[in-house]
Amino acid sequence: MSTSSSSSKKIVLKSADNETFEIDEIVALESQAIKNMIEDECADNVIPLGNIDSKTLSKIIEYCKKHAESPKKDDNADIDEKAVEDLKSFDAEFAKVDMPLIQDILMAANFLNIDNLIGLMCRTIADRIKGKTPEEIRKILNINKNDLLSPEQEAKAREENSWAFD
Amino acid sequence: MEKLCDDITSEILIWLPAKNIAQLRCVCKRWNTLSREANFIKSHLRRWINNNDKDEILLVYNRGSPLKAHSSASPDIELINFIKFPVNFPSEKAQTKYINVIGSANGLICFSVRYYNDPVIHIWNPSLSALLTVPPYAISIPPHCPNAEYYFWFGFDPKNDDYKIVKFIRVRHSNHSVEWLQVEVYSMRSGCWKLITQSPPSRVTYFYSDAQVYVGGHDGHLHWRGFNDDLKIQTIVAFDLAAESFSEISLPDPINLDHDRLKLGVFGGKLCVISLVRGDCDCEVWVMDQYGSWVKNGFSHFHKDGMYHPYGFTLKNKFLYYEFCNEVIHLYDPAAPFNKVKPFQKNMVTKRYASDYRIIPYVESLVWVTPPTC
Repeated sequence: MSTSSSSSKKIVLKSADNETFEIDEIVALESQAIKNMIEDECADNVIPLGNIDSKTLSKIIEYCKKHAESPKKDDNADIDEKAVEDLKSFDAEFAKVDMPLIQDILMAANFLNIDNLIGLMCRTIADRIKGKTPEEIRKILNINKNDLLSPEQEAKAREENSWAFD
Repeated sequence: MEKLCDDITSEILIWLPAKNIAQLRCVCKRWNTLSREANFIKSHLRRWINNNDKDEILLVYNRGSPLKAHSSASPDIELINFIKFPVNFPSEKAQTKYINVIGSANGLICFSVRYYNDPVIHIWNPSLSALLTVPPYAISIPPHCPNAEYYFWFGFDPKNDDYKIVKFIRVRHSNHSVEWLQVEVYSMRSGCWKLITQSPPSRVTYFYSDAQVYVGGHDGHLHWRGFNDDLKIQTIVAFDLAAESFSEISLPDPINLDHDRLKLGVFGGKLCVISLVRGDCDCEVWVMDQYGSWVKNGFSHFHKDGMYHPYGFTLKNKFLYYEFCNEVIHLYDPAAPFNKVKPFQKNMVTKRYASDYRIIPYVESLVWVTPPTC
């Protein structure tokens, strides 16, 4: 177990476009996937992340830094209200990016297993599609034509939920 | 987006209100399938009930006055136009005058409407604005039988993932003896009423429905307080929704309880008994921790300087009560860091009718069953 190691220990992450990011281990531990790698001692000095580009990775590191610095909710019962508010407004600012980047962050967060970030991105997407028509949503989320319902299936779905369209 | 797996997709959908999800089923195949899965519907329900960022919406109701929606954040303000009645909802006149709420569970509200004849039962999901009219039951009150009464219970049967209505009729004969007519159970999944052979315990001659905050079907059971004529017997009659059978539970520690000042409720999803003590200024709360055994709850000794009437607990364990001195319903949140007590509107409920009021939790819920026709 190396979770309690000093914050001076460094981890290097390498993005798909070969950019390297040196970060404190404590920041990297926000990712459950990296944490597991370190604990299983199968992490080399440099962790290659072949499916995450540098733009996405730098956003993710920004997020993990902030969250690693903030007191954890379950550390003690007397959580600092101000710290909670601070983190909330950080999250809100963090999510103010365009939809393609949100989806890239979400997929990367899913790969790195960063629970809070997955939640934040999902909620952001939900907020942006709330009240939109199915057509608009298909466009926003770039849904593949092969995944659409057939006209018959769509008619059936509408009929079964007719009360929803009153 | 096709790169995102099912887990992520449901994590996105779960943040949307129920009706919105239903409207978006036609977005793509994955959304259509996912949003109908029982597990997703359950997680969505839990998320909306337990989400700490969301305020609870409470529907305050009394027979003869319309449902009023209030938010737990500022219950003094009525949420106007919050409830959208479905097109097939009973007429406006019926909405106020003849509606009697039977119970609610997982966002479904069951109510009866009575014009002149036998009550007609409806199941309503206000968050989806879906309404179902339950088909007529087999046994009605016999003609020329003035001393007969309908009882309806409604709740969730988790074993069969079903919503059920229990109906019985009590007839008092001219020699004062009481007879329970054969009990009927309606299942939303089957779409039919069914006569059952079980009947309420024979020593019980009437029931008192004192749950004023409707949270039906906890532990898969429904509970009413049962009495006999001379009040010597006071018991809790339970109906097991899965087994469709009756049983009795004794009240907690009978020596310490003033049985006239008792009411049943639900606390944290479990059956509870709220007992007013010391001149109606203090209350004790007993929770059925494991089915069949009572534990006095930490909430006990909720004290006011004046008399109050307890309604019960909301889904998030906030306490609702009526304060007689200033004639206002209050919401008490023991977990709030400050501002624990919030009053509802003044002049909303008069002293005289305070105990007639019922409070129904409004829950964003995708729960809906389109029953097959019998």
